[in-house]
Amino acid sequence: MIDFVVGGILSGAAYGLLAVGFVLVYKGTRIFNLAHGEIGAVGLYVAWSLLDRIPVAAAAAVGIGVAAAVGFAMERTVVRRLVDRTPLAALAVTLGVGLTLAYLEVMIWGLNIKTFPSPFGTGAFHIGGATITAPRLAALIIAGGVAIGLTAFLRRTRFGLEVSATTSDTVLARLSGIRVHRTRAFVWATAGALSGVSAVLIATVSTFHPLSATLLMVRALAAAMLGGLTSIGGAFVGGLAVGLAESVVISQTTTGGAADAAIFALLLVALLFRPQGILGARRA
Amino acid sequence: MSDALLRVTDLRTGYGSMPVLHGLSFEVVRGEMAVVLGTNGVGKTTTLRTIAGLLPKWSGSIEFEGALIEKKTPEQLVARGIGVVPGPPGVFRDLSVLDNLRVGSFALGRDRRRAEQRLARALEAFPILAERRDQAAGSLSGGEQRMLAVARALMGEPRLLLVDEASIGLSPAMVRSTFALLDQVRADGVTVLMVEQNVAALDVATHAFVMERGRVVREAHGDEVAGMRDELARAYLGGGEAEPVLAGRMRR
Amino acid sequence: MLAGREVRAGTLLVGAAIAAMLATAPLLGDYTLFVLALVVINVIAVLSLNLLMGYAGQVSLGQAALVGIGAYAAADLARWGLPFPLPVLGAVMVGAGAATIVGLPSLRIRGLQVAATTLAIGLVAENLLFPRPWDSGAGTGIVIARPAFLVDGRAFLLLAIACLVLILLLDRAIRTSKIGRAFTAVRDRDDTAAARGVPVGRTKLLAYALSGVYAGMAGGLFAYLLEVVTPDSFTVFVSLSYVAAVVVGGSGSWAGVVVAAAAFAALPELLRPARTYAPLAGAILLAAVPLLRPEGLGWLLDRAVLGDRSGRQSHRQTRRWPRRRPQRRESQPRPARPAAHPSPHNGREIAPPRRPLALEVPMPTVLRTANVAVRFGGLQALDGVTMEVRRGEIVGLIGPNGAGKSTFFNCLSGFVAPTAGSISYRDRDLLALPPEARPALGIARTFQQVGLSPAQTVHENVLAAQHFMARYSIPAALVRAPTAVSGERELARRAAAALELVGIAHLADERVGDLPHGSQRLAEVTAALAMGPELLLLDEPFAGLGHEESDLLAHRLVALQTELGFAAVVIEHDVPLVARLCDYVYVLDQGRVLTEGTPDQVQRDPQVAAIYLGEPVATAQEVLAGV
Repeated sequence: MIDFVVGGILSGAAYGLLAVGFVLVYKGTRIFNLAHGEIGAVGLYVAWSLLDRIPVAAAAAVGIGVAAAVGFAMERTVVRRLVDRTPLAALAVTLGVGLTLAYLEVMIWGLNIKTFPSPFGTGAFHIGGATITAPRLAALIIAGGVAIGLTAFLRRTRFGLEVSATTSDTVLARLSGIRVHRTRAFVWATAGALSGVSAVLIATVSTFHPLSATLLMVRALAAAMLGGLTSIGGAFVGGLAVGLAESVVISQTTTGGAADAAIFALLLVALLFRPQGILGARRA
Repeated sequence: MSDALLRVTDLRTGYGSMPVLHGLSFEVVRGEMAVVLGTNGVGKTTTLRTIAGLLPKWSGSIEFEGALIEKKTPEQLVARGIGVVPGPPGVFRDLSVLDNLRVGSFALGRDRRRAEQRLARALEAFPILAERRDQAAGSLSGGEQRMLAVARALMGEPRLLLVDEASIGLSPAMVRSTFALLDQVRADGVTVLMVEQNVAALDVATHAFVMERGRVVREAHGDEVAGMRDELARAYLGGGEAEPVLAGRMRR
Repeated sequence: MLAGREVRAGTLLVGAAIAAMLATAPLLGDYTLFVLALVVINVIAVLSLNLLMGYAGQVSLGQAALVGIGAYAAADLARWGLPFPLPVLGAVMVGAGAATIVGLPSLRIRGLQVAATTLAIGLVAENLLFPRPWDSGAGTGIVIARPAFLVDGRAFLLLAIACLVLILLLDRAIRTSKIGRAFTAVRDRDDTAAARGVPVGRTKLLAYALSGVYAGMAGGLFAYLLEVVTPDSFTVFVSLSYVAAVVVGGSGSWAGVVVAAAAFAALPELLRPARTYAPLAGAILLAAVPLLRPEGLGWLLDRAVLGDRSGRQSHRQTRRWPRRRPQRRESQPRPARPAAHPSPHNGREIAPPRRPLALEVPMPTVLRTANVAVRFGGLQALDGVTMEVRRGEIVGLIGPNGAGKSTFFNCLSGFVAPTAGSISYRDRDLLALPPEARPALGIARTFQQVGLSPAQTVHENVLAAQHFMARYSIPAALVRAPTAVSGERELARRAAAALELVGIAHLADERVGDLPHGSQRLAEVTAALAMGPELLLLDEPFAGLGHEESDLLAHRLVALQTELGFAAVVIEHDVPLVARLCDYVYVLDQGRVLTEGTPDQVQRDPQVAAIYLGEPVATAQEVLAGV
């Protein structure tokens, strides 16, 4: 059972990071980016193709960098033009971008299902009767580290403060002289990177294929909505909740799709009973 | 004429297809406390938003220190020395008081020492804010938020301060102290352009305009300002109109 | 569109394509016949999403699940021995039912979050419902056999085409009736739709149900076409390809969507090299079309080519206000000066409709509220408002921002329930009545931001406002029964009369969003008047109007009031204007009636001066006390 719990926390952390990226973009630019999960997948695939040439860790880093670049590029080209469109149009556009990326992945890299090797080898630790493999432990530590690092950056550095201000109140940020187009680009690039980290983490502990990003996205959406869509901390906690719930369900049954049903139920609960989310503030 | 810090000429603009300003013209001279008065819906906030670069104009011109600024973005205007105190909340609710002030200092550029000095001075000038420096700005009272908004805008050392309805939602006592604060700001050398509904602003104004339906209809300088009180009452409430629409139709 | 005499490019194209298929059918090979049938069924499936998303504005990223539910229902029914066509009919019913259930979350949740639930539903269907781990008989798919007379590819294609034509007729009946207008109201302005008599929740569910009818039919036909039902045909990616077809076709333009759906379905089959690139092209188009040409194919196909050469378009994709090019604004907005003089005799045309006997007796007091209070959490928005409106009066409601004026209107129109107090309209207690039921009693309302659909024409908006007056049932609308046709004629007549009366008949075919602000206000007043109100609630009707335009509107209102005899309550900030327009004035401050009286009395009241000029009497005392 502990095995499942650890697994759940781990995937939950990955979902949480993905959700954090999504909420960051939503808070900062009011865009519901359905391509969010796919951006990370692109980075993952690039990393895969570099594996036989450079060390694992470096490949992962490059992949995450590529994901960040894709996020940045998306902001520069597509999002700019969405300013005066309806939310439905914006949704269609992000959906289109996500699908385009997915189909490109299939065309370039095929439909293979595989995992990503962890740079941390195959050791295992025994803690209180349970076994945690080294990759899992490492992934857990990395996910936590990224979350903490991001928080520190947003609170302690000047640019981080600019980003926080932009996500808190974009108009006021402009009136304070903050160059919002830079912070916006940063938000999108960071979200891309978070998506990349998330994809790599998931791939080190389970299989990944071109359609996985959609599954990931649904989980991230559920996590973000559990967190109220406007709370970064809430999104991360939501992610943990989703991961744990999924793990519990998987431990009880081998029925495929049962996890999806559980996620859906969580989504409904989130939307119907707590529209402001676990940690989200009630909007006046 | 050459003393005009800000000159607005025949400004027309609005939201979507809805026009709000129908040819607005006025001038603000250096060192003034200029107050634009009017009831709801006359276009006071729209005027400020247009000057601040948030709303594109349809026609007309805006000059600051002799240069046309109507195409400038808010970020550029802050760099040029225009500070803005928006309507409530006017602060970053998710950030602490200190962080709010820090954000204000970004307008000074990368000079950290100058920013820290400014920060220290601000905390000195506003002891209440210093007390609450680590609190989230969203948890402050209305009056404190207003104070923080002014302090934040001042951090950028602006030459012109635009203030949007500082008195909204405040008790009469707080309104007076807010106006007194702005008077002090003017005394320290910052020109202030305030839009207000509250007539008490006349007590600190050196130059007053009355707006009606998107235009300036009355103006007064210096000593005449105090005498506008009755005029304003007439403008806001009417009384003795020509041609009532329903002459003696239905009376209870 | 009003006369129905003009023929659009899209109608011609689709008609020609169907005719071509029918004509060439005897000559085509089996495989081609199969592909054509597949394309036709796909079109039906995509039309189901067009109805839901394009007409009613409800995003669904899992529509293939509904089609799949239809397919599996048909397969099960066939497996259990029901003969053709019962399984397909069953599929239609199951589809409608399932869709309605899928639509339930949309009643509580707004906006894009519903999209997330539909995506999740699609995944659950794909991974759990369709593979049916509990039913070993499902295994790798459920097999069914076509009835003998459908084995021939030609016969099946005929069946498919017949179903498509049926769906297209149904679609047209929906579009041109009160159902379609209700969908549009929910899509464009679900915040104000209820004030025009449109029950938002029920309308959404109806949209889902009808969408499920189309989807169920498509699913049933798929089952018989493929003769095996597997989960692979109804994946999330299929759902998303439907979304692409709707968006590229021009969400809401049925002809565009038909062409786009046909293209998406046909190309991979007909052009071998395109097979791998087709989904990619679809995805790119999905991203590009809303950016570059939001109307999609509808831009081409909605143009009239016969009967009306003006090339006008209708049912265009909503690009919600504001538009993209503010520079297009004229620097001097045109005042709302109508060309035609209003024709007074038309008052009889839009007289209030027959109302239940109890309300027929004219009575002096139209509206009476007593101690109405509203509390939102910790905030007391209204704290005991007592007011009275008499027959034929124009009553003004003034007060500072936050005084509770709009909240009060929301109570009167039913959007907010008072936490205390009573509201009686013509001696009838209003409290429990939902907002969409109030227009039938004679209460009409306008909104601070113009409450019309900016994408629709003035005429269509006026028609939509009369939703509660459409004296025909939904089934009658779907089959275009005589009651529906005559009902529509009646509404059109009333709309025309109202437009004449207000004097904006020349603007009838203009899109509301394209009009200058003053004309939009007039259009909204016209829509309200077409409802035959006894009580007209006007929320800041003069906002955004210059001096001249305000004057014009005020005079127009008085003339209309004299002609039609309604009572009105007007929220307004411009006190001198209120003084000239109103018979009686209530002043609201901090949720209470501060004072009331004739305009003269109110203007002279020092309390009123205090709240407007911001100097409460107490202040002087505070100053003296050294605060």
